[in-house]
Amino acid sequence: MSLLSMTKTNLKALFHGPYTSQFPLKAREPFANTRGHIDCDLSTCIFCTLCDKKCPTGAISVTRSVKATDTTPEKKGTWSIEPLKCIQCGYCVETCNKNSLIMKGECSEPATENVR
Amino acid sequence: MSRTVIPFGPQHPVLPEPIHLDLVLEDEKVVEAIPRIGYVHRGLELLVQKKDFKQYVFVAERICGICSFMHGMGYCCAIENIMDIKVPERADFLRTLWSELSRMHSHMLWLGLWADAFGFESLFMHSWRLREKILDIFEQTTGGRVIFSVCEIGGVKKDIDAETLKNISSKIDEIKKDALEFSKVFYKDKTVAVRTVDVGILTKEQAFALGAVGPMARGSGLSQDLRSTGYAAYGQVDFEPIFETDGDCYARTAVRIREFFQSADIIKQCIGKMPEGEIRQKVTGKPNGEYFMRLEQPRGEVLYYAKANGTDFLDRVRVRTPTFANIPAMLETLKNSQLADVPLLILTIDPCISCTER
Ligand code: SF4
Ligand code: SF4
Repeated sequence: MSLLSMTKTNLKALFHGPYTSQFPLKAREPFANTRGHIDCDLSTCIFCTLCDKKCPTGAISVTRSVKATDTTPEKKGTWSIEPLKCIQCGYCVETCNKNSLIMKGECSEPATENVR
Repeated sequence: MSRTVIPFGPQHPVLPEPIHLDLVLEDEKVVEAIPRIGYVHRGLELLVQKKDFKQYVFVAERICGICSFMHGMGYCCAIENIMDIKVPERADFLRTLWSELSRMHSHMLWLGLWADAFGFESLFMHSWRLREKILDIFEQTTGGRVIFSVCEIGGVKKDIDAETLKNISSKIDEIKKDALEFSKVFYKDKTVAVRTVDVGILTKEQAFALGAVGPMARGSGLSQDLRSTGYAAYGQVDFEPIFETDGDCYARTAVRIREFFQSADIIKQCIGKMPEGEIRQKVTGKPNGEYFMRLEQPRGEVLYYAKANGTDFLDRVRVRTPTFANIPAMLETLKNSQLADVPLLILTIDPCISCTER
């Protein structure tokens, strides 16, 4: 038993400099796999509502336009996500047959104002 | 001597999660501890009737924030057994790798909390600094640091390429080297020994009779480790269950430190033996039947029971978590302890209350 068993670790830490990252001076890059937030490419989405049905938390809502004559993306339907409900599981990305959904690495910006 | 009852918890500086104990004291000595749980019950088992069996994987993962991978895996294994799905071999190896990484970061987390509980702040920080490196490996390979969402029924969702595997292997070496240096403090430091040696003794017979699991049982000399049953790829890697015989807090610390290094070794073996091939098996049909799955989590044995009825929604999922099984053993160690040791004795089982209450 000794009283100075931590000395080596402490001395090393003394000369090592900070172990923590120097945010915001040095921002941390997300890894390629990082699950940050979901984005939808509305130009390819066909509003099939599959992601809406499969999402385990019900974060996505998709509505389809009933008019078959509507062709512009804005009129074909709407796709929206409630970011606070989304758990970044990636299930919707797998489900989408059109590859319209993308999992982006960056987490969504923190809310700075109350938008209720 | 007159007795005093003092409430301990649910909010207490040493408890990261809420559990309440009524401590019956004679002077400074605890004669009895009466537990009360139920502060963070979330009804996750009932959710199985509302989320379909594939969606429920994401719920199962959220039972615990530390062994989240093994919760997801336990549920997936149960459903795979009901549906008779053979998971590809590479997926089994990847599951083993992630399970062992979970064990490493869980034990490191515990060692940090443990150091903090006996007032060794810098040791706590070094433990958690090291744990961060393991979480980085998780983020790099699964995309998440706490909840991984890579396990699915029939395999895993993400593969790890050869380059990254090599990278992980060298990172594990680095982590091992770092951990070796300060794990000696837990073994050798006099101030640590004073707080842990001969504190909270649980004999082998008591551990067996009270149904202790995991490091709590292995610290008392019961050599039981579910990994020996060979689920996932454990049948193909070499390891022996680690146990100590003293049954005190020091022995349980030693078990966890040795398991940390054992896990590093299993990860290296997995990387060396990782076969090429598919990582997921297509799942068709609906589950019908029931199954008990037992896994070894960092805290001990977890039991997953699933009952399916041939529809998208299961009838029942029941999870018996290791902390729940260890509570009787914890109460036993609390008997005749000093009030000042109570925080240590609660922490010695590595309690995870959110798991326990689900
Ligand atoms: S599944 Fe894909 S195509 Fe269908 S609504 Fe969702 S994003 Fe659009
Ligand atoms: S990532 Fe998961 S929770 Fe988020 S929108 Fe997609 S399916 Fe829903």
